Amino acid sequence: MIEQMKTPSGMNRKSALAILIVCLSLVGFIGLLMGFNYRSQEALRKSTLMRFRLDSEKRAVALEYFFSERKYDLGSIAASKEIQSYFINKAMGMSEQYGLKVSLFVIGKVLEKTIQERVVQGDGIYARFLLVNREGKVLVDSAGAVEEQRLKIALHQPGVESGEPAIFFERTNEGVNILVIAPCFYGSRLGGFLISWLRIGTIFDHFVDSPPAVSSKGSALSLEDGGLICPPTNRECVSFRKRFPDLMAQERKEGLFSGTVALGDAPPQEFLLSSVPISKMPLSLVSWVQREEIQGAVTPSEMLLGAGFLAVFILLGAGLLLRYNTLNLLLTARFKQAEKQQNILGEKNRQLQDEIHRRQEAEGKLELQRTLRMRSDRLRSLGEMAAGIAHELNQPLVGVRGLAELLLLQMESGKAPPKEEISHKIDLIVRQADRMVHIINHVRLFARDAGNEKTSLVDLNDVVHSGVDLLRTQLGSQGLMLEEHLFSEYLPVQLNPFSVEEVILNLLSNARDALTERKDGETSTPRIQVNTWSEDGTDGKLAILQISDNGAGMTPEVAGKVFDPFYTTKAPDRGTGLGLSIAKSIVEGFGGKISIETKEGEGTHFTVAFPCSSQKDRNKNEQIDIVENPDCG
Amino acid sequence: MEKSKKGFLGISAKSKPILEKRDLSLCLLALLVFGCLLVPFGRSAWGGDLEEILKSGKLRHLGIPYANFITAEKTGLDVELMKEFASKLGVKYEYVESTWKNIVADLIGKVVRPEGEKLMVAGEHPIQGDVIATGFTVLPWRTKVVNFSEMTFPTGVWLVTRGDSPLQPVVPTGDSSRDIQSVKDKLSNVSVLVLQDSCLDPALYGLEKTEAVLKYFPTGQNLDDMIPAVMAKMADATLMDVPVILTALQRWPGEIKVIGPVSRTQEMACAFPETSPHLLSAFNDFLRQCKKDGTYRRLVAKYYPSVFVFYPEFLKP
Repeated sequence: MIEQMKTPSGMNRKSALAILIVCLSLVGFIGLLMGFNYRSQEALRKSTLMRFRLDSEKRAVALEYFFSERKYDLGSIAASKEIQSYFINKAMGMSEQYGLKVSLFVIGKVLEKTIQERVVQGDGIYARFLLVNREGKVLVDSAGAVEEQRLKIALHQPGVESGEPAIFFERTNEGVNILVIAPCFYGSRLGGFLISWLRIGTIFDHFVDSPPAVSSKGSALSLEDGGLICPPTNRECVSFRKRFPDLMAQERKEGLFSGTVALGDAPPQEFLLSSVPISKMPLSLVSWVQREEIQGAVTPSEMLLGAGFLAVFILLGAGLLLRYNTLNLLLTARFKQAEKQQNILGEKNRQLQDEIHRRQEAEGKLELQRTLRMRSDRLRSLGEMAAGIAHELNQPLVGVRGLAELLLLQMESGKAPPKEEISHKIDLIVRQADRMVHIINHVRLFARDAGNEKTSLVDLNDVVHSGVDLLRTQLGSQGLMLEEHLFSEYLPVQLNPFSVEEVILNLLSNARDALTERKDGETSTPRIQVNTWSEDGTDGKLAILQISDNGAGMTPEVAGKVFDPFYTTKAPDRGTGLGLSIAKSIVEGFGGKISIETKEGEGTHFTVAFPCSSQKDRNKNEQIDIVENPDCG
Repeated sequence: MEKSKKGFLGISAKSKPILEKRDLSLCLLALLVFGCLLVPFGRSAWGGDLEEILKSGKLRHLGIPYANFITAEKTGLDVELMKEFASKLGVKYEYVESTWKNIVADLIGKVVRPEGEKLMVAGEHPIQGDVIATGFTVLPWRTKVVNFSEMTFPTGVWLVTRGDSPLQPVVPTGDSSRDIQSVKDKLSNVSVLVLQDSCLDPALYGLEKTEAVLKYFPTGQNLDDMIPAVMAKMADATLMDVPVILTALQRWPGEIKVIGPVSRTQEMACAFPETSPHLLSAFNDFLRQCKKDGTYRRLVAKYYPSVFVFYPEFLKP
């Protein structure tokens, strides 16, 4: 088992070490990556800020170029031959009725063409053109309507009259309009002004790049006075417009300033703002972006900290994995070992069960044989009893026959005895007949109940006497002296009396055989003594039965084997070797003990001790009612 | 008159000597062809009314390259109008180019010259076409030899000079007669290009009675070349009808200027032979339909977009 477990443990240690090294390498690699990531995040953050700034500057340059182009457009149209010829022809005195209408028509077509052709990805740049004379009278209106009252710009400004187109801002209720105004000169004389309204939507959509809806970033144009020009559709820009003067007052860092603005109904958020002036324009491009978008929701240091936690988690996870893996391997090995042992145990269990089965079969056979032997032995005992019984029956039969013949002879001789004598003799005959009936019943009961486990409370003296009676006549006929010394007191024992009788018969038979085997020249009378008495044992009173003979006795070796089954010193036709063995089992079955004391050449004593039945046991037995002798002795 | 002719020839001899030779050659060739045609047949070539045109299967359109009515590429307002008319009739369209001198003769088969209020028939002429449509102004003498359709275009004759001309445009008074007189009053010793037998014929406007120096533009030349001739300083000014001025002012803005009107508002129309009343009627029906469904207005706007500036009532529904 230990050897078997060594291999997976060794493998586990190697695997654990390998996993640990891999995890440490992984953590180190993660740390390295996070270090690089930290640096790259910092660089990315700076780069994003720079890009945001550069993007604003780029768009500011684009706007500058856009407005320059618009100035150029207006300047070119104002200097076009169509407008030039109008003012020249006008100056020459041409009337609208006779010719100038065509000039104005042509100018109108030029302006319409400009509106149609100047587009950015399909979106028009110019919303409207207006050509007015130097007094402000509208000559051509691309919108088709003459609305002199709408022209609120002071045309005769130094900047305009200097000859260069200029950008102006017209504040209206709807917002701020962006206008380009170019003076129209012919020669050195000012003829009028060409005015254009730029489409705010086009500017914002393509140059300012204002978001159409709620977004994290956006742009607008700011005027010199701090006003913010927003596309009319962008409500979020309006939120910035309200906060813009306050935001502009913030301290700038890296060219940016920050502030908290609530876009629409959204909660206030922190924004980064940049303001890039547009060259040669009274405008600045204001761009804002949500701080989180530039700097991220998590700072690089927080990411580093997070990576540290991640590494710790990985190590812990690896440790747990390692632990679970090791446990799993151990459990697997143990499981396999247990499975193997279970198989072995199963095999052994099957073998054991087979063995038990075989033993049970053998025991059954043995029991059967034992029963058969016992029955055989009992039959042998009965056979041995038969001689004694025959003697026992013969005596009364002889008496009955004698009395009957005597009576018969007397009657035949005519000397009939008196009636009292006849009655006395018949009474003797009846008693002898009763005696024979008793003997026959006893034999029948013996044959039926000997060996039965059913017990009853009996007096040992009665049992002994009954058993001795069975062989008394036979032993006497063989010249053997049978002495019976029974205890004078009641010896209550709980047993099967017929089984004990079988023991007694067996012991008496052995004693008889021992006496018949005495050496020639033995002078003492062959004698068998049957004694009963009571004595104290360790567990209470004992009823003792002792059968002694003064026969040949036994050697200690033989004495040590006399209770072994099938051990006998007799000829095969005289003994089975089971008599004492059965006697011992019967005695022990009733809680008793049987012992032997023998000395070769002197005789043998078989002593049987039964525990005396207590008063309590006796009370249970209703068949016996002994009041005077409540216990042995 | 003779003096002015000499003056014009004197200038043209210097600037376009080849033009004169070609003109003479063309005249000789035309006379030769005319003579050949007259000798064998002794009568005008065929010219018919609607039935004959339908039978012949083609409509012959007489025209002269002139402004945007008939361009040098043989497109223009009148070309498209006649093509539509031919299509309406279900006949083929055929363009026949003519000259201002012969275009009436090409239509009616007779050479006719106005002499004051009278007409002089100079001879027979083969009929070349079925209808004149070339920005043809309705003039009194023309109404005597041809039948005009309903008005196709408003016009008038103005005096045009170079942009740097010292002539000052008239200030409109609201009275066209006074404006015309103001223009005439400015013509003293001013050389003016005119074109005989056309709407720019000085006789139509009494310019002979002024002190203007009339310079007759060769009749074989394109009327459109008169303004460039003035810009080339071949004359101080030129008569020009309004449709041409509309295009010229757009083409050369600042280089020419209009001094004022020489005529009252005139009308242009298509001319049909007096022998083709059914054709005229069919055309008038066609023209009315075109005006009604907007087809004609689209054609006018295509070639003369600014005409509605000057004549806001023109084609007004």
